Amino acid sequence: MNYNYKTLIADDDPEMRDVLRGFLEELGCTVDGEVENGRDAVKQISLIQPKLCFIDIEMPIKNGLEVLEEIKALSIKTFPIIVSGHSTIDNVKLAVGLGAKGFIVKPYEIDKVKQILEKYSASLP
Amino acid sequence: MQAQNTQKVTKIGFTSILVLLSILIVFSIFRLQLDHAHLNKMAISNSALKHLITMRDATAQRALILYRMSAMDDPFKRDDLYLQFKAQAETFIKARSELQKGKTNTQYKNQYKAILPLMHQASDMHQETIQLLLSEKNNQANKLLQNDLHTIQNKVNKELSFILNTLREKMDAEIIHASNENQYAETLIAIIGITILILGTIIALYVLRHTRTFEAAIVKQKRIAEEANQSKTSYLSNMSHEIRTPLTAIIGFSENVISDEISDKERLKAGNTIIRNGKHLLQLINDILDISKIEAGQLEVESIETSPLHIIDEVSSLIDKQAKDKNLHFNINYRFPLPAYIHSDPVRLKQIIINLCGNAIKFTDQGSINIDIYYVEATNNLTFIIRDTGIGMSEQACKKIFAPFAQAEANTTRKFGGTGLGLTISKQLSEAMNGHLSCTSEIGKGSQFILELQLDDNNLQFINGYSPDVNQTGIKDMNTVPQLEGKILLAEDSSDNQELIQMYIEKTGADLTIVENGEQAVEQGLANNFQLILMDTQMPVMDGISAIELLRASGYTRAIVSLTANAMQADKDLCFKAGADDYLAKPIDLVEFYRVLKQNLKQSKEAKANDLSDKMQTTLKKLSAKFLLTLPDKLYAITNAYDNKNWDQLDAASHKLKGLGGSFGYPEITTISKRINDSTRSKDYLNLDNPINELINLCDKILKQDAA
Repeated sequence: MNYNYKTLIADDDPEMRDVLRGFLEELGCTVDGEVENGRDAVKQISLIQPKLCFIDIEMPIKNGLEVLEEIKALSIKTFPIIVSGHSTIDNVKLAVGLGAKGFIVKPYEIDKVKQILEKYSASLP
Repeated sequence: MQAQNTQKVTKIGFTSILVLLSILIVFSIFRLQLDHAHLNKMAISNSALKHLITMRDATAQRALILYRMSAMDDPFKRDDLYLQFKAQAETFIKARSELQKGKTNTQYKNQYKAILPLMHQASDMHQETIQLLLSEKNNQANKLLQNDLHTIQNKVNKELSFILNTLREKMDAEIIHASNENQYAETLIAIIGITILILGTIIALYVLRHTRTFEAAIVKQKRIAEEANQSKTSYLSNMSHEIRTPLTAIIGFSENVISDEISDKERLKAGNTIIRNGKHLLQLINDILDISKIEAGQLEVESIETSPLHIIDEVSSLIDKQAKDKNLHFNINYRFPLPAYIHSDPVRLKQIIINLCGNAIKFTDQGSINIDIYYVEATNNLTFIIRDTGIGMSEQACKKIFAPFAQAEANTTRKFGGTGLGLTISKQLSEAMNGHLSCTSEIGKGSQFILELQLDDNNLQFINGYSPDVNQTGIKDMNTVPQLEGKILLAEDSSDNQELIQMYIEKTGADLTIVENGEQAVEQGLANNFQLILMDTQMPVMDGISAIELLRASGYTRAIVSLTANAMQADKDLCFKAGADDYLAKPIDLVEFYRVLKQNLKQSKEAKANDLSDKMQTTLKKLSAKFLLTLPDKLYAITNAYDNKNWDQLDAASHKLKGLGGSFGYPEITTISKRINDSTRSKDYLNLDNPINELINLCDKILKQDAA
């Protein structure tokens, strides 16, 4: 299965972005944007309009949950995935409530990313 | 229905009585007024009559007085008579004015008008005569009296008499008319009255009789309800007894097992007894559930393509062993041609046949158990006959055997065991499946149970021979524990069940993480990549259903199997709706449990095979090479922060390494980094020494391996 989707990564840690980029490209996706704070995330997501965007929670200027709120407010059509080092239940509930379609807990595993792509692929008409 | 009718009749009856009564009252008032008018009329006519008579008499008297005056010489006496004459005139005037005052009718007014000139003439002549008499002209007066006055007087008298007669006749006619009308009214009133009386009586009788019938019906209903209650009570007490019996054994033998003074042999025996009784209790509860479903009308049977021969195979794999254990022969007699597939409920059909065969084995000590299976084309019936050579029973017993808790003899349960519900359920099930279950038996010779299924299939395909699948997995598989590899998350709040499931899973070799509520299950499920999550449905903090929903909403696509003690179909549906892949009922059936595990985890031998594709491995290698280059710097960031007690930096550095290690294929780095990070965050600085040293050693080892 080749998942040929346009994606964006929002994470303030360049190494974390590298890992995720590696996995996504391995699975067939293209990473069309990489940003390191919440403000740029919103800007780039509305500009590039990626099919999926992977958003870290802890980011400078605006955190990932605020980015979700803006995506929702601007009604941008994308499949937002929260990536975080902590899967605290409050974060998960908040993220899902704000429209996140997935929640990946770091460390990354190829399988976790693959599950999300499978879910996105299944959600397509 | 009866009560409603009575009510209806009473309503209609009383309404008609009321209507009739109102008619009667209105009519009577009208009649009274009519009578009053008649009487009034008669009174008026009567007084008119009286006055007319007075007037006639006065006129006659005046004439008489005039005659007497004409014959009288004595002036005093004559004056007396004159005064009398005048008095008569007054009487006349008075009567006339009375007559005028009274309500007179036009007819006699006209008559009166006709005689008025006559009366005036008479009056004038009276006056003239009086004048003549008073002026002593007796002769002239006499002449006048004898001739003219006499004639006029007679005329007046005659006319007045005529009016009087007319009046009298009229009065008579009125009286007759009034009396006739009265008679008619009286008859009518009498008829209405009698009608009311009869109607009232009929209604009263009717209501009385039906109230009695109604009361009788109520008494009957009450008796039926009491009987039902009685049978419910005896059912409950029976049930309570049925549940207590195995529980007593379980508790007793369990106490026995934990005591010290018991040999291994006895312990084994006690263990077996506990298992047997536990299983019996489970069967009883399943049966009770079936019965209550049947009673609530909630029993649903499927109609799917089913192979009757396959079902017999499955039954035989189970029954064959039980029969052999009792040294009984077990035969299946197929009478071909038989339909290859029918539309039915395979699970329920199997349940019925297993139950019947189980009974046959239970009540047979020597001989054989036979299953005959044949198809009758004329009626489109598929028939299963389960025959045994057991103790049998009387014809009477045969009839009541399908009632709950009714074994042939009251004491059979003790001797032969069983829940006493199996046949009731089988009977109800077969009826729900459009079939019929009956029994014939003879004491000492054996019993046979006949299950006839009415098929609704039109295009049946027939087969003329069949050999059972020899590669069946049956009891053989029962106790083999699969050897598995992978990670399982168990969310379960009861520590007893945690231990039990842990014991089952440990035998397979799979890794197990246990959490005790839904929230922890979500956190752990997202953080770690489990091959399978076993999720209890009822848990504190967050229940299993919500946890499954949240996991699915978070993009979790791996297997989630719910565990629940609620065995109703609705509960299953709820689990599947939330996103569960499968479902396991509690108490856990080991065969089912291992089936689910095997389905979701890799068997140990295959597990050794490459998890990731070669290409993926290359990518990971490339990425991790880059990671390893920067690893010494990251390690230094941690040790440096620790040495300088810069806790914020230590928090950031350990958090970062925690995320990276596993991502590049070094989960051990993540594990230790997490310990450092957790301790730093909880300000547990004294316990940092160990993990930091471990991390240094680990990184050293990894870097050396890489160099090699």
